Amino acid sequence: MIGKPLILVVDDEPQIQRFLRHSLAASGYEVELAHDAATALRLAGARDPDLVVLDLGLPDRDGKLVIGELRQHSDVPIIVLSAHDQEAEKVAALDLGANDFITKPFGIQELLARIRVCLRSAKPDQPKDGRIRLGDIVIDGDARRVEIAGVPVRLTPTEFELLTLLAQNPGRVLTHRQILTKIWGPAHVDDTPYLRVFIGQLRQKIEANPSEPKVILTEPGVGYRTMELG
Amino acid sequence: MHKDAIWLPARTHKDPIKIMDTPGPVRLRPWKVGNPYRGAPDPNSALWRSMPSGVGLAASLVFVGTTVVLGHLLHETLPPASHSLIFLTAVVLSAVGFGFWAGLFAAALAFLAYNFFFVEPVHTLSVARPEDILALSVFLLVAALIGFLAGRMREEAMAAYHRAATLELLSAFSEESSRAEGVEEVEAAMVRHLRRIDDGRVVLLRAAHDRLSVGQTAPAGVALQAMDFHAADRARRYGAVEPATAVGWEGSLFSFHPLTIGGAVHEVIGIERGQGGRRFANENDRAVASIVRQGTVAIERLVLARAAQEARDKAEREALRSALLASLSHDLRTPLATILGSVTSLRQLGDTLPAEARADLLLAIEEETGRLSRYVSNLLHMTRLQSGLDLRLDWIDPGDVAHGAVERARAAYPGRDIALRVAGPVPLIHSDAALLEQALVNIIDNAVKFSPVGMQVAVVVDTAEQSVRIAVTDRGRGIAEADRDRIFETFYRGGATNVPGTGLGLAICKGIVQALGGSIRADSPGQDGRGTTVQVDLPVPEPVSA
Repeated sequence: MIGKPLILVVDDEPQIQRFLRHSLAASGYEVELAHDAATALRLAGARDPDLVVLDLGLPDRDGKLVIGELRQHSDVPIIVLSAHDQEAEKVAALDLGANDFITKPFGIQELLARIRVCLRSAKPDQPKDGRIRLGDIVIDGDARRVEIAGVPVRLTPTEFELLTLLAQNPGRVLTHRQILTKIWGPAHVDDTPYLRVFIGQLRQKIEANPSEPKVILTEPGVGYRTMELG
Repeated sequence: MHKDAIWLPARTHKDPIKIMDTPGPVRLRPWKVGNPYRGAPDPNSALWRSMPSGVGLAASLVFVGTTVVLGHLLHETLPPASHSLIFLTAVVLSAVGFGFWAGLFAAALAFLAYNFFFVEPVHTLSVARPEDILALSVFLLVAALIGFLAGRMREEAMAAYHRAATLELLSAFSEESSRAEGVEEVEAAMVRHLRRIDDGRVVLLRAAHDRLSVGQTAPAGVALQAMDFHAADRARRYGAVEPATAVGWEGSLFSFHPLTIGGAVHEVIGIERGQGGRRFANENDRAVASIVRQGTVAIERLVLARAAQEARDKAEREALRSALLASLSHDLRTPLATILGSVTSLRQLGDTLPAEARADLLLAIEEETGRLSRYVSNLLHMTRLQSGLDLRLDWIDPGDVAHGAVERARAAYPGRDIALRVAGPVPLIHSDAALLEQALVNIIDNAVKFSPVGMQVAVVVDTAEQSVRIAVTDRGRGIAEADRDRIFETFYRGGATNVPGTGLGLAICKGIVQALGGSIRADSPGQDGRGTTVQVDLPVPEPVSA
């Protein structure tokens, strides 16, 4: 990526466009604005943005359809903007290929953090020694060992895979479905109780205070997110 | 009891009272009450209009025979005139004991026997003396008269029994129908009691949208024929009784009585012609009419009560809506005023304001937008609650949800100490995470607002019997006992005019918790002997094996 990353903001609210334009520009991004799905798709083809911020409520088309069309020929990271009470919408958008979501109303610091995470995961910078780091936690994928601040932790194979999956996507939300499919297989996409039980066990082992987790965070109704790296 | 339920018995009865096999308080069993006619268990046999029974005639024969023997034995000692009196005794006994025909038979028999054995010339049927002719005539007259009177007495006793039983039945129904709390209960009582009147089948049809549908029946599962339906529909259309077709004619077996409420036929009740036939027909018809009338009154009462309740509920909803709008405009305007004021101050006076004043105004804007956002999400949840609530159920970890709520509350009140403790492993529950979180946020919000700055608000998630318990304890001044339930009422604010809020938070909580199948309560003093504890219990379904 040469020069400033280009962010395409798709939202039909002029006031949202306005504040995003200013704050994203001030944060070192180039900004392109689209107020409907047709413009968004046209601009996405013409300008090849590095990231798309997409509101799901567009005047001409369901925002979820835009995700589908973008995904047909692009892996561009997509951050979805959604209203508070729409967990199902968020999950659907994420399962369609959106990378993350942010709930309106939001502070700009939250959005900037999500953008950073998405742009970074677009170019993985994990060390090539097979080890994944998540704060104090070091996961050795080859030896299948986990250490917290140098102290080894015993994890069951499932717990290990779960932690590895989450750690491979630092700061990014993973839906229940995505995690269940990856760890338990497609037959178990609806077995959220499994997932909750294992997340609970994992927290008991890796969190300083399992009641108030800091490493594996819950996104209510959506999924889990690991803490963001620096 | 309805006045019209008392009437005089008709006198043209021929049929016995049915002894019902229906269990219940009212049993038509006259012979248990006491029978003045000993030796006559079948009431049919002794009625003066009824045919003579074999037993009666045989008894008459025995009585007269005994008299003949007695007359012969006492022949020497008694004067001849008293013989006729002994025979008269036999006639009276037969008439009283076995009714009109037996008495008449005994009289005829006594006439012949007396004539044959005691009237000169003896052992012939010819009569020599005129006084003997008189004696024989008196025999016949007395026998007929006594038989007639005895039969009438018996019949009146029967009618009295029937009337008493009917009155008892009507009074039982009256009591039941006035006690009933639902239309279905009245219907059931009607069907049950109508069935007892004459043992005919009873069927209740509900009228809705110009159509009848079969409701309760006695016995259960009575099926109507096309003819019956036709008659029932006529009763519905004309709002008048549709009597059963006469015996031997093609037509409905049921008499259909419409129950008219508010000018429209609400239901139609059909009573089959009973096994009793014509005997107590008039009386039974009156009993049926009385039950139908009382049932109508009872149903009308319930229907009107329900309509009144609905009207009250609607008025309450309207009041709630307008109060909500008033409260909303206030609650939305306050943060907006702060935001607008701060922003315009910054724009107009930005350069002249000291740096810390600018920072303070900016913080005020941020805090007020947070407040607005909380109001809006509360509103959203309340709309969901009011519109019947589509629960988004999933297996959730209560500790996780409590953590989310605590985090949100901490973000809203940055300076406050809000502690969370999850006691041991807590089972998963099948619930709606977003709603539960909102409920907990509201409780914590309340606890923070009503306790002094610097005092901790403690949230504890624990397992109780078959439930997960989430308790929020503050160290405020507590809640008076009288107010403890009222705090969950809409707009009740415990006289807290100095604390900002809508008076909706805990009401929404209660709505949410109840929708999730749980319960909520407030205890004061709270779990550590001070302040208030608001406790939410949520059911734990069958354990899930992982």
